[in-house]
Amino acid sequence: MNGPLAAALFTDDGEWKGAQGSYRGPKQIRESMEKIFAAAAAGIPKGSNFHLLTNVIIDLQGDRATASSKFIFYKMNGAKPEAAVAGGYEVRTTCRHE
Amino acid sequence: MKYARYMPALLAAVLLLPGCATPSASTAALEKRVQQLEDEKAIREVVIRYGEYLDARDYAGYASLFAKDGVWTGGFGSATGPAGIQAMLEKNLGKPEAGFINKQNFHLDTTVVVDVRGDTATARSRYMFFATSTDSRPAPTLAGRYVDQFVRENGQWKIKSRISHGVIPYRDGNDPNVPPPPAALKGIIKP
Repeated sequence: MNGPLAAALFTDDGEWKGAQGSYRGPKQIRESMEKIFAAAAAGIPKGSNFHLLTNVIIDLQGDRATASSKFIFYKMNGAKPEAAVAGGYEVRTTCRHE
Repeated sequence: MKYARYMPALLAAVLLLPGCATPSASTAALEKRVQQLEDEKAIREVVIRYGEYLDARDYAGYASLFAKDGVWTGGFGSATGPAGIQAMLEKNLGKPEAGFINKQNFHLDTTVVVDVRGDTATARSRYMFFATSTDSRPAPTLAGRYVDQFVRENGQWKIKSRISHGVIPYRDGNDPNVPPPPAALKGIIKP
């Protein structure tokens, strides 16, 4: 879990919307993610869960793009990975020229 | 200019130097490589959309992925072309409901390997079919692989044929006798 790195993927006005609420900007997104994932990961030993991301379709239009994908969040049940949650992402992204 | 009359010959000599690709030749090579990548991307997307349209019960979208002479073969028999495939699915599965959101199951499509040969292509991929368990978790219920023959039709890649092989539980996709779906899928999918 690396909240700062994950949040750095967002633009300054970037938005994260999900079942747990709606957040804007890297700072707010980082703080909320850390809170949400700390609660969700309580009781799961560190390093024993992962996201599997697939079904990615990217539509690139110049400096903007949309992407849809599916995820499955796995956690370990003893020595066996067990699918805990499945969902879909809709991403709208823009290219920031540094 | 004193050497102006020699310029065409000098230019030709430069262009013919061994090992120097002419701009037009390298552009053509690049175009070919980009086309190859675009073809592969388009085919991967068809493989993903195939599962997504099924999950959404969008039979019109699903049928549109097939070529004019594309053949669907499965538990309902066989149908040819988008209109025929759509009609067959709606006859057996019912007309899709407007605004339907599938909260029960989905296809996960992965490990796609595409081999493009001009206007035809072969794609091999793997799928897992997840269904919700009694305690509301995603439970892998079927694992299999697809072998697809694609054809470029009016500039778009369409499915000419698809063979679905069961890996777990095992089923030979070339065997015309389709066994009943596993007990875990009772009421979720039809043959």
